[in-house]
Amino acid sequence: MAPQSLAAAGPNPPFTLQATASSWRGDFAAMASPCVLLVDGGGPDEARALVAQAQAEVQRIEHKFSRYRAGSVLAHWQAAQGEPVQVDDETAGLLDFAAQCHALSGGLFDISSGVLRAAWRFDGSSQLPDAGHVRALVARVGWPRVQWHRPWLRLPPGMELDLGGIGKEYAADRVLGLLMAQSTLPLLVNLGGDLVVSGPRADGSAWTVGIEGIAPVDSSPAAAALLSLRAGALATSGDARRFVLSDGVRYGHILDPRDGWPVRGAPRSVTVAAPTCTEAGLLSTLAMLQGAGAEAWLGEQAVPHWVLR
Amino acid sequence: MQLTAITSAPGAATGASDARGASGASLVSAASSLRATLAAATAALLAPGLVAAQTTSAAQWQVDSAVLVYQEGGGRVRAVEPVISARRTDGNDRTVGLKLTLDALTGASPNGAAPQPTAQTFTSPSGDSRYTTPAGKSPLDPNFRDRRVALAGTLERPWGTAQRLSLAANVSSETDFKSLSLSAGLARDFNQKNTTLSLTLALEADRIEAQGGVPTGLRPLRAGGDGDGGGRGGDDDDDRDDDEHEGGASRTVADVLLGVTQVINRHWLMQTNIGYGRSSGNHDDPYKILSVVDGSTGLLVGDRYVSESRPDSRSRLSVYWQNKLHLTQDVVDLSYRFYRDDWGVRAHTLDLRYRLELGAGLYLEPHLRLHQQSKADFSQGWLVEGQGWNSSTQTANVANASADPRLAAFTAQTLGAKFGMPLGRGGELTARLEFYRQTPKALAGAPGALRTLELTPTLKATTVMLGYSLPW
Repeated sequence: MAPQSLAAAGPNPPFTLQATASSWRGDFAAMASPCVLLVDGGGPDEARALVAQAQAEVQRIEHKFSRYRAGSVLAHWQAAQGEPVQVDDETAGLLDFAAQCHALSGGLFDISSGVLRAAWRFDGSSQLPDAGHVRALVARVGWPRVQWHRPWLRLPPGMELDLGGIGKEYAADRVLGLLMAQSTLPLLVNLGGDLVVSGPRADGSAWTVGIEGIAPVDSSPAAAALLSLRAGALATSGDARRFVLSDGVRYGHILDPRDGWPVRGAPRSVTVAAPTCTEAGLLSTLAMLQGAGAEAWLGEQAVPHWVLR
Repeated sequence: MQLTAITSAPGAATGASDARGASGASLVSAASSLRATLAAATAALLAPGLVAAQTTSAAQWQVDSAVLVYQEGGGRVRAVEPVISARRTDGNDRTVGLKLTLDALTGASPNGAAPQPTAQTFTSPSGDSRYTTPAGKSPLDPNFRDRRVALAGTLERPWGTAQRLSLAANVSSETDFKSLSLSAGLARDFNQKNTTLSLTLALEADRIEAQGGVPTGLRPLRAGGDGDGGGRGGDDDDDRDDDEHEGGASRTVADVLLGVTQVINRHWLMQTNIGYGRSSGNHDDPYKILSVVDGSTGLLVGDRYVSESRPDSRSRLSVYWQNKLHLTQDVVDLSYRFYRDDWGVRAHTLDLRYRLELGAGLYLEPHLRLHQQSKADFSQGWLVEGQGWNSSTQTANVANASADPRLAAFTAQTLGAKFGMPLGRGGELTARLEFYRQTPKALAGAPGALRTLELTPTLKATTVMLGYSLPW
C-alpha cells in the first residue's frame, strides 16, 4: 500500500499538556473522541514526548483503518471490487482476531455488519427503517462469505468491512505497549472512555477513573462513577443517547448481524474490566449482543462488569 | 459514589487487579473458556513484536552492560568480568542477540596437594617458576592467571503459528582452552499458550592446550625439580606416548534439554526441565596434582606428587523445577535443581529470590541459594604410598584420582541482594552484592601428621555486580 501523503492525513492538531498534583495529563482529540494520557511522575520533556507518541499512534491507527478516509485500507478493499488484495501484518492480525471473535460469538460479532447502519438513524426519533431495505442489507453481511487466507483477502462485491468495533480498544492497548517500551513511568491511556493502565501508580496506589454511563440508576445518565483501577483495562459499549423509540419500544444502536435489527432488550451500556482493553471491549460488545441476557452472560464469563439499563 | 476496589463492585467475580500480563492464564473454570480463547487471540493481536513493527521508529536494540567482580577470601582467585549484550526483536518477531564476555582471572588456586607440617616447594606446570607453600597451609598455585574472551550469538524466530525456533553459537577462548558450541531448540505452545514444550540440543567441542602439555592419567611429577623442563616427570618418549597429549587434548560434549513451562493460574508460572548430557575426551585439570603420602606418618614419600586423572567420559542428568509466583506486586522465584552424574556426584540446589517492589519502579531482590553435593567416587585428598600409588613401579592402583575441591563433598550458601532502579527512557541500573561460603566435608582417615592440619579450608567469596541496560 502506498504511504499516505501528509496532506491526506492533515497536520497533527496540537495536544495540550498540563501538570496535575503528581502527574502529567496530555489531552488530544482522535477517533472522534477525547483522548487522555496520564503520566505519573517524570519530567515535562519526557511527558511531552510520550503524549506526542500516543497521539501519533492513535492517529496512525485511525488513518489506517477509518472507513471514512479515502486512504484507509478499508477504502482500498472496497475499491478492489472482488479482487484479492494482500494485507500487511498488522491488518492481518486484526482480521485474524475478528475471525476468532466471530467464531467465539457464534456469528454475533461480525465486522461485515457495518452496512446495516445505512438503514438506521439512531437519533432518538421514532422512525423505523423499511423492512425490505434491512433485508437487502442483510444479504450483504456475513463474515463466512469473506475469503480470508492470510495474507490474502477477497471481499465479495457489495460487502464492506469495518474494524471500528475493535479499533479504539486496540489503539489503547497499542499505545500503552508502545509507551511502556519507552518509559517505566506509570501510565493511563484513555481513548474516549476505553482505557488501560500500565499498573499501579508510582506510589503503589490505584488510579481513580470516572466512567460515564455506569452511575447508579437513580442519577442522571451523564454522571460518572468513580472506579479504582490498579491494573488492566476498562471498556464500555453502548450509548444511552443513541436509540430509536417506536411504539414504546426502545431500539438501541447494537444491531444483530443475522437479521439487521437492533438487539432486543440490550442494556444502555455495559462496562467490563479485563487484562487488556481489546478483551474488555470485545466482552462488553458481546454482552450487549446478548440483549436481555447480558447480565447472565457476563456472570458466566466471571468478569467485573457494570450494566446500565 | 466511590467504589474503592473494582473487585467489590456488583457482579465482580474475579478481580481486574494485576490481570495484565496474565492474559491467557484465566483458564480456571470451563465457563471461562471464551475468555481464555479471547485472551489468547488478544495476545496474538498485541504481540510485542508487532507493536515494535508498526511504530514509526525502527525496532530498538536493548543493550545490557555489566561488570562483575568476584573475589575469593585469603588472596585466592579474583575474577573481573565485563559483559555487554544486545538484543533486537524485529516486526516479524525475530530476535537477534549478541553477547561479549571478557574475563580476567588472577590470584591463587588450590593445586590439589595436601598440606604438610613442613614447607613445600612446587614448580609451575610450565616449569618456569617455583612457589613455596608454608608449613601447615593448603598449597595454592599463585600463578593462576587467565584471560577469557567469549562471544555468543542467538537467533530466535517463530516457526509456524505456535512454534519458535532458536539457534545459538558460542565461541570461547582462553590461553589454554578453546571452546565452540552450537545449539538448536524448538518450543511449541499448547493449550492457548498456557503450556509450552521445548526441546534443545547442544553440541560442544573443547580443545585443551595447557602450559607444559596436557598429561592424562596418574603420572609422577617432581616438585621443586631442578631443570626438569616441563616440571613433570616421565617426559621421555617411552611407552606412555598414547597417554600424553603434548599438542593438547580435546573433549566433545552433547546435551539434550526437555522443558515444560506451564501457566498454573494468573499468579503462578511453573517450569520443569530435564537435561541429559554426555561428554567424552579429556576431563583432567592440567594444573591439579595429588600428594603421595606415607600411610602411617602422613608425610610426603616416594614420587611425592602425581598429576590427577579423571574418567574420559561423563554422563550428567539434571532435573530443574522453577516456580514464579506473582503476588499483588512482588514476585517470588523458587527453584530446585537435582543433579547426578556417573562420577558419583549428587547435588541438590535450592534457590529463592524475592523481588520486593519499592514503588516508582525501584526494587530490591534478596537472594538465598543453598547447595549440597556428594563427592565424585575418585575424589580423594591424597594417595597413600603402596595403596593408591606405587612409587617403585610408578603405577597407580586406582583408575582415577583427583583432589580438586570442586569434586569433593561440600555444602555452600549464597546470600545476597540485587537493587534495581529505573532511569529515564526505559533504562535500568542494577547493583548486586552476594556472599558465598563453601564448607567442604571433613576428609576421613587422614594418616599421621595430616590429622593435625586443616585439610579442607572453608572458601569464602564476594561478588559485586553493577549493571546498566538501555534501549538503543
